[in-house]
Amino acid sequence: MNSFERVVAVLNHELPDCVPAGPVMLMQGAAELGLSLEEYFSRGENLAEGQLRLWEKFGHDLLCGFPHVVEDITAFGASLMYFRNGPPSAGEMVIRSYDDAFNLAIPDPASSPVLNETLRALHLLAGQVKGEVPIVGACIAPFSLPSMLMGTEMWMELLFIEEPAVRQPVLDHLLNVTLEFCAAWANAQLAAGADVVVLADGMSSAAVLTRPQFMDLALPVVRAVVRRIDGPVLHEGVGDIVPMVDLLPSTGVVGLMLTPRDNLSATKTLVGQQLALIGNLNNIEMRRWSPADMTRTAQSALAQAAPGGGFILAAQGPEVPLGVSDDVIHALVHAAHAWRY
Amino acid sequence: MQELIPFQEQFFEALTRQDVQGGLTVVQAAVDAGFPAKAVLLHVTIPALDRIGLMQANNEIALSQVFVVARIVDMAIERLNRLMSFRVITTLDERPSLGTVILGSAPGDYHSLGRKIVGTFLKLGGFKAIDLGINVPAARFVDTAVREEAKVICVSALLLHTAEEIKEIRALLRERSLEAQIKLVVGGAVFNADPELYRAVGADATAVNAHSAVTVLKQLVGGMP
Ligand code: B12
Repeated sequence: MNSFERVVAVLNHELPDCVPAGPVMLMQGAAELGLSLEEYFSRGENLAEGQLRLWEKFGHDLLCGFPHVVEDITAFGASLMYFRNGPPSAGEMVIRSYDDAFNLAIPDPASSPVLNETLRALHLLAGQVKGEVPIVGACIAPFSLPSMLMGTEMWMELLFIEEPAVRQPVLDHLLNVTLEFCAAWANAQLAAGADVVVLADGMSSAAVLTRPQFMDLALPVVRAVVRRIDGPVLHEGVGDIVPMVDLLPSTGVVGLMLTPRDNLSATKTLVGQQLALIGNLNNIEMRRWSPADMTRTAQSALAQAAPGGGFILAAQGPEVPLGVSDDVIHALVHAAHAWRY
Repeated sequence: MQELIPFQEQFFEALTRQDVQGGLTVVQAAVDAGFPAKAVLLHVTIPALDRIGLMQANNEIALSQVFVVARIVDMAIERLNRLMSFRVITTLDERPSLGTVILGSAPGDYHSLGRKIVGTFLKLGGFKAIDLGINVPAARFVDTAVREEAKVICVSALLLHTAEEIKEIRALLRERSLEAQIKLVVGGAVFNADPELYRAVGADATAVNAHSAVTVLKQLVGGMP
């Protein structure tokens, strides 16, 4: 099986030849090309070339055709701040009042030059490796996007403190905008060449929401957006998700990215053959692991989640940070590929 | 203050229900019943917040709940403060202040929710906490600490690359021979993900949440439990 067939088997709940390895490497390509992160992130050609070089080097099973999901906010007119050795972040909040939120229009993803570079990267990757290795796209999920547009404090204020009469119209409008945008943006990425789209949903995990809040606020939005996306969707809660994991199969997502705090065996028992599991190695600790540490930790994850299929070995979201040695990444890939079915 | 225990119980219940109005009503009722504002702070607000802190330490509550609780407590404190002769809470009990603490988010770090919660807990725990906000340059931490005669610099970082910037604060403390009088304490999600990281960035200690931040600081500055 090639990487593409291997991952498709996992997402379809069929047995692959071995466990796919999916270390998400968003920043490492810059060093491969000798570029600063800003230069690297700003051009689709660079992103595609970086991903291909990393694939050649590590032989893993997923390529990422996007820079870093925060770019989504540029469609709303926000700017980005780049750092020398870490991911970019929002330059400013575009929503400063409930009035701003209420007047927010649904932007066209193609209106942002930055997002066009993502489409370009996906297109270039598809031209070269479509069908050989899966190409991943990503969007900020509609329920979490407001926290990047107005700041988490204002978002939580609106959700949890505001009077219902003030809250409801603003909330309805805002979520309609983010949902429409997210669906259009995900579909644009699929059309450009992505095989699967990750919904990065940093505000909808047990770290942030209680189960009733999740059911009431986040779940309907996940369900609605997945219905509108014309391809397979993976959910990344960014915090622990086990307390609500049984609710996710009904949304239509095909897989979940887990954190080290999510117990793999427990998750496997809860969602069984309904969802593929992706994760969940500790990406922060990984920087001081030796290859032997990686092998040991990976094997323990594999022992819990690989039996019966449905598992992709990966770091937790969002990515493998800079400073993790190549040897350690090689060890991750080897451990996954050594688990044969 | 046995008589205040029922109020404390009701206030705690309002917090767990995330009931803003309910929480404020309990505080007002205690004041209306004739209890001094300071007693209400000491025996209603603080113990209830402590109990919430313990629940957070045990991962029993979500960020949304902590957020609302912090807001209720802030509003309650603001009301009680208006009734008291001093405006800024420094010490809340008869003991002298435990000392000044400089708090801020690491250079390049724009996360602020956790830091603010730590600030609230430190104030209620008896420290004078000066919050410098987000994206605070290393030199500003140190300069402010010197000017305010602070015993501790507390840095919040949620990202790996901003955590790395904390090394610069350690370097400045060393350069200026301040290491004996100013301790460096760090916290935030990234330190919880890797319990060894605080040492790697040159900090003296870390704490996994706001509740234990108070305990750690007390131990560090005074050997108190
Ligand atoms: C809210 C949030 C944001 C908001 C922040 C809004 C705000 N005003 O704070 C926004 C949307 C702006 C944001 C931006 C980004 N974020 Co963010 N964010 C989060 C999120 C969802 C929650 C963080 C939070 O508030 N937690 C709740 C508080 C209460 O917890 P806490 O901060 O850890 O604090 C507690 C303890 O740690 C401790 N503590 C905290 N500080 C201190 C200090 C001391 C001295 C002590 C003793 C203790 C202590 O006590 C606190 C209370 O108990 C997390 C994911 C998650 N689920 O955790 C990601 C997360 C932290 N963000 C992340 C990322 C990558 C980013 C961005 C780079 C994304 C991007 N590309 O734009 C930017 C970076 C911006 C910047 N330069 O800082 C990553 C970090 C990954 C990593 N470490 O490598 C996380 C983990 C999400 C993820 N997995 O992708 N984010």
